[in-house]
Amino acid sequence: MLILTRKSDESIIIGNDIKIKVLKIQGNQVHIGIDAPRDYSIYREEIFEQIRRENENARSTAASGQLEQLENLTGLKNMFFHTSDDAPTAPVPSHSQSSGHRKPAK
Amino acid sequence: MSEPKKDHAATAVTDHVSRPYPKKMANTLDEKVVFTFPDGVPAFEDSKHFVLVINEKIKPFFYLKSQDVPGLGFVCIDPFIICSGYSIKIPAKDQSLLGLNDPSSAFVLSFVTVEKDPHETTANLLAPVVINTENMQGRQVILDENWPVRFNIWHGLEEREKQQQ
Repeated sequence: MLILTRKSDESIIIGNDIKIKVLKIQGNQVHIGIDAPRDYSIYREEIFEQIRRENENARSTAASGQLEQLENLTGLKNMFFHTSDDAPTAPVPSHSQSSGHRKPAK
Repeated sequence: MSEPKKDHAATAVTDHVSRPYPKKMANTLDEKVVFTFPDGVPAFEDSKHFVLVINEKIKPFFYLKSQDVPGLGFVCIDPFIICSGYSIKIPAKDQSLLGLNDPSSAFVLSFVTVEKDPHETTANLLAPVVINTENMQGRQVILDENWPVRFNIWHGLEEREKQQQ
């Protein structure tokens, strides 16, 4: 890993296209600005790691034959089909779910 | 949700996707259709082609099967039917990468982590897979919004039940 030391307002350039700038240092937080081409995805590492791990979990359960467990989920499936517009193969008329964001508690 | 607006460029960034099925769903549900994922998905970047496998016995769950990596596949669900109030804003970068000009062309699905106890089965609402049904390109999109990575499907359905009573 290349290690550089920067002060506020100093930057690092990677290749031709990427610029990373230290905007502000506040206590133990660094505010970082990133200039990169539109097609580069930029994520906080822990978020990306979390998604990777969850994909690995999801994959292994699919592979280990737990599809059968889903087949037996009669209770769960009945709940799905309780409402009339849940048949997945029929086109669903658009309906509004937009009472703003409702973020479930974690 | 109202008609898709004509001025796609202006509204694409701010439009939320909050209804389950895009207008081109009929094409998408065909198991012969191959979806191209130029970046794969996190942890499986080598898998760039997937097909849908529909199995009546597990409906409404379905399976997204890799064409590149043997044995790789994911159980999926439409997140809008398990979480009332689920509404996503596809980040501009992902829209651009997918060539998604019209949010109503987005087919959104969530990977499901099946647990031994079915009541513990969860869906990833933080990082849905978004497929552009215009060009059949897909990617897993990490949202800026605070949705859970492990959303309990059973609880989500119970919540929906209550709301409909």
